[in-house]
Amino acid sequence: MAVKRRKHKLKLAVPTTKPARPFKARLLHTLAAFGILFLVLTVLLFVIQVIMGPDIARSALSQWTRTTVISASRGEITDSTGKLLATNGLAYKVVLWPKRMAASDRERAATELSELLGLNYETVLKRCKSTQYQEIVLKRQIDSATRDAVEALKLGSGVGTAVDSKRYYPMGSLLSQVIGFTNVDNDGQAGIELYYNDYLSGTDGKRITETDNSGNPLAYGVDEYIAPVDGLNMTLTCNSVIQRFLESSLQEAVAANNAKGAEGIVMDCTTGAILAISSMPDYDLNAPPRDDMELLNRLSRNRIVTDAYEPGSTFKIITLAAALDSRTVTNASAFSCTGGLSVNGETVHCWKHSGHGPQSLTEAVENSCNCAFMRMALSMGKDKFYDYIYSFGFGASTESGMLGEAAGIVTHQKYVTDNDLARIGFGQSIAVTPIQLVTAVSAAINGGYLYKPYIVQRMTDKDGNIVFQANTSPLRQVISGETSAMVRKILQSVVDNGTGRNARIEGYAVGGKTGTAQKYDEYGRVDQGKYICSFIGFAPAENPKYVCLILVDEPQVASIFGSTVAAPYVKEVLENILHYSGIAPTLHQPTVEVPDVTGLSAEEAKAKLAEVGLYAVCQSSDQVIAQIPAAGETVVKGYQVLLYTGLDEPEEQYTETKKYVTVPNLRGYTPLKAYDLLKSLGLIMTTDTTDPAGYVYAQSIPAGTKVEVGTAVGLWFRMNLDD
Amino acid sequence: MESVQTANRTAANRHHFDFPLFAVILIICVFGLVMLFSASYYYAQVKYGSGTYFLKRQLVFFGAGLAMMLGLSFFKFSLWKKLAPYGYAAVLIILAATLIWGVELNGAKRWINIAGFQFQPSEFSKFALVIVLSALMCSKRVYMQSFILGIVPCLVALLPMAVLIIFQPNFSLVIILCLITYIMMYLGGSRLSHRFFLVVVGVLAGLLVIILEGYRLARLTSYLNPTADPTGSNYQTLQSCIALGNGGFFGQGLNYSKQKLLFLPERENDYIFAIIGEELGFVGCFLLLAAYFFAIYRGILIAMRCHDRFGRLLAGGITSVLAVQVLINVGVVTRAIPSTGQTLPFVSYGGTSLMVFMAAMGILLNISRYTEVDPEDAEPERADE
Repeated sequence: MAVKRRKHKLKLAVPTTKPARPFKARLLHTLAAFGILFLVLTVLLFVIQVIMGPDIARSALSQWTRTTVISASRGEITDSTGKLLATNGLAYKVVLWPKRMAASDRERAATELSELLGLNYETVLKRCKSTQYQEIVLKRQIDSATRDAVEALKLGSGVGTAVDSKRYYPMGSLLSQVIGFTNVDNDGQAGIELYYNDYLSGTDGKRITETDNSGNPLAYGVDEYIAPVDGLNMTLTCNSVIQRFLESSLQEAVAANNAKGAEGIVMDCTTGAILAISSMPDYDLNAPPRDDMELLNRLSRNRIVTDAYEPGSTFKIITLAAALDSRTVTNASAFSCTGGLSVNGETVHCWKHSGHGPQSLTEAVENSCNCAFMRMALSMGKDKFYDYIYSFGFGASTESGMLGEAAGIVTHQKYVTDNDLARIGFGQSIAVTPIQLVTAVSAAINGGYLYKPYIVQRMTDKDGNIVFQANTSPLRQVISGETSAMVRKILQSVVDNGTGRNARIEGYAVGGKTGTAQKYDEYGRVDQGKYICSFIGFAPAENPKYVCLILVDEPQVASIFGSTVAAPYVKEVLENILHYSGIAPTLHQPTVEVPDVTGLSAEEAKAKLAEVGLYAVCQSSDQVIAQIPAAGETVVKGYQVLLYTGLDEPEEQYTETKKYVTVPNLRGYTPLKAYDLLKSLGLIMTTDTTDPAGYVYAQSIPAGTKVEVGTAVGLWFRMNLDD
Repeated sequence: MESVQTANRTAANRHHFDFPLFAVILIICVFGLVMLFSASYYYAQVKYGSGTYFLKRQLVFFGAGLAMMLGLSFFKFSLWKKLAPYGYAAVLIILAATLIWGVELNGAKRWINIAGFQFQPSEFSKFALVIVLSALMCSKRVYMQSFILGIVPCLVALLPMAVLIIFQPNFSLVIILCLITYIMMYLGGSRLSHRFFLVVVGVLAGLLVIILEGYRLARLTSYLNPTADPTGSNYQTLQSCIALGNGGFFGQGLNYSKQKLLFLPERENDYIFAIIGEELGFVGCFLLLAAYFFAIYRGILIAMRCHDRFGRLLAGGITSVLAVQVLINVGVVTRAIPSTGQTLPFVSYGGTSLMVFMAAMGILLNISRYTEVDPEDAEPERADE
């Protein structure tokens, strides 16, 4: 052995210095060193396990469990009669479980999924590789065909599909600005969907499952389920039938007047409930133009509540009510108009520059005489008039519960000159929202009670328990009942004899007021040739229930007056509503059939119309090429027929779309037969009950009357006709 | 010849082996089997479709290990001195063979198939080194005072082994071998100044290797900055700390580990101590460490009672390997030191490790048969000279 041999040779060379520690001591020291190190590790273990343990374990909870979100069902939105306006449809989503995906499969999955779903390849690949997440939702709200295609790819257990929900709007564009829409995550983006999102969305539930590191549930693992709380179902005050009446009339108004747009609202003036509200043009809620944000913003604006405008003559109702209630004027007051009034040295003109001459109060309202209303405003004085203006709710949001409501502009009392005050008297120098005007006019005619306008009737949970019910008690009484009665009477006279003649409805008393207001540009200057024509009407006039305001924005026709541009459509809406709601006619006004005057000269046409007791409105004396209403329609005597002469041709499509049919005699028909017959003619059957039975014994439009396609015909049924 | 003389003398005093050591090793082994089953059955079920896959195999290794332990306890330890050069050569050949025919796993060749059995030759290397160093240093202690006569032969023995292992590559094992050599030099009675010089050289060499090979630097920086990448290279140690923390003082109870559900990698192997900590808590960890320390204490006691210098060095060396291995494994699990991949003796899954350690305990038990019964009567210092 090498070691041994060398030993002998080198023995003397080994230095004999002081002896090292004894072996036993070295072993003991080694043992002590190990002991100390064991102690250090024990202390370290104590720190990790006992002192830091609870925190460490808590931080690891998320890796031991898989949380699956269980989506709460979004609340449905229905109209006041229970018709679905917004509901949830079945859709699917593509889900990735990156941990379950084999590393070699990721690129194939990313290629095929990005191609099928139209996603970016890099993004999909990145998601496939994100193993720190248990579950990734790749795409939501895909249809069943796409789902089948994803399943057909057979990408293994790392890719799957799951049930998702998508919002559907069965009525399409109906009430589009009010309802709004949701995004892909079912969060409200506009309208009620946004404003009441927290109520509609509910609270998602979850299932917490214990899993191993690959995401497989454990056989003996804890499985915790937290049920989702579904969103509240919402019932609106709007009636989809009345809404349809309003929307089709607005569409006609836009087409007939070649206008930029039109807005309208129908309110139940006895409660403040909004029965219909719309701004034209609108859009299909199932396919909002998401790519064009500017267009979408414009179309989804609920202009009735968001846009303040200068109301013009319709505001005179408020001045009249205030002046009467404060006893500044009485029924017996007289006004003389010379075509203008000098206020503080500046002459403010009446719309009729030649003046209206001497008038009674009723005549002044019928003529919509600015001078009379300037006098009323000035006589009341700033304090009194402003009290009424604020009391009627102007200058503050009505808090109707619709998105983006504006407050309007009422110049502070301190800064108002007499000149301004006089102008406010006839609806200038003040900006109001249409909903404020409707609310205030409702108060002026319903006996003086101001109601808070509302659109949400009630909210119920999924078991039908009422969680919220609209409060329909009035906010305050603004004017006395007698004043209100006088206002009603005067406004009825405006329709019967004055500027509102075109709103007359056969058999019913209607009240109303026209309004034409200039538009202002962005610098506050008058925008020449741009007007907002409006009409506010209510019916039945003796005991008002429905108030309808229609605004036509920038009409491009010859005669721009509220009386011809807006009033006919208010009439149309109110008439349809009266028939639909089964309110029996109270008046027997003489009616006439409109004669055909097309082809005649303006003068001849005027004469022919006068023969049967109708008025004519036209721009020039050229040949009449079209008329509204068309020949054959039945109107109340004194109706203003709008004549289109050679210079101002109406929109072609408008005349084309107007088709007329003769109402048949339906007496004795069963509901089903009557419905079928009317439908075949393009007419709408309406009844006063939801479940009609028996035989027709009366109809709202007499047999033989020529009416437009789409007109509602109210029918009354009785079990036995011989009674 | 001194060694033969000593052997003759000690042979006369032969008695039963150290029963407390045998008992505590057996207890640790049986406890280890229970914990191995608990830690591995979920993974075994998922991977092999049989929850007892690892347990069954380990039981076979345990049986073989037990036979080797008992057999070697009757194999006269002094014969190892004669066998040392051959054993050393054999280990070198196997290490070289591993480099050529080894099974590559995660970029390192540490396994070799021999006659259908896969084993890790590096496990042998630790004990082979202890035996050869004991043999080198067992002649008179005064040689250890000389750098040339005492230190250089030890380094000459270490170097080829270290070179072959560094090519696997298994850097941490090289460090462990250096550590063992250092302890053996201390036990052999070398000078402090010589050892200090070696430490300086060793640290410088270590730094050189770290700088030369980038991935080691990365592993070291990730150890120093654990939150940087929780899913990357720190994943194992992070998950191991979660297991320990989840255990708390009394543990989640046997079988109730969550981390063994594939969250903690190598749960049946290098990180089984973390699962023990999770299921049996601080109490369980403490008792296991106490059992190891008791075994180490018995080992040192055997060395102290032994009259033969070779026997003392061998007993001290084997005990040190056991101590170093336990300290490194638990140190990695508790994040006290960077991850190395050393098994927990008698507990971790792995036939080579279990059998080699049990065999080493057999050698230790054999040494215990030649001790003075009453250590007070012994004259160890004289026996040394």
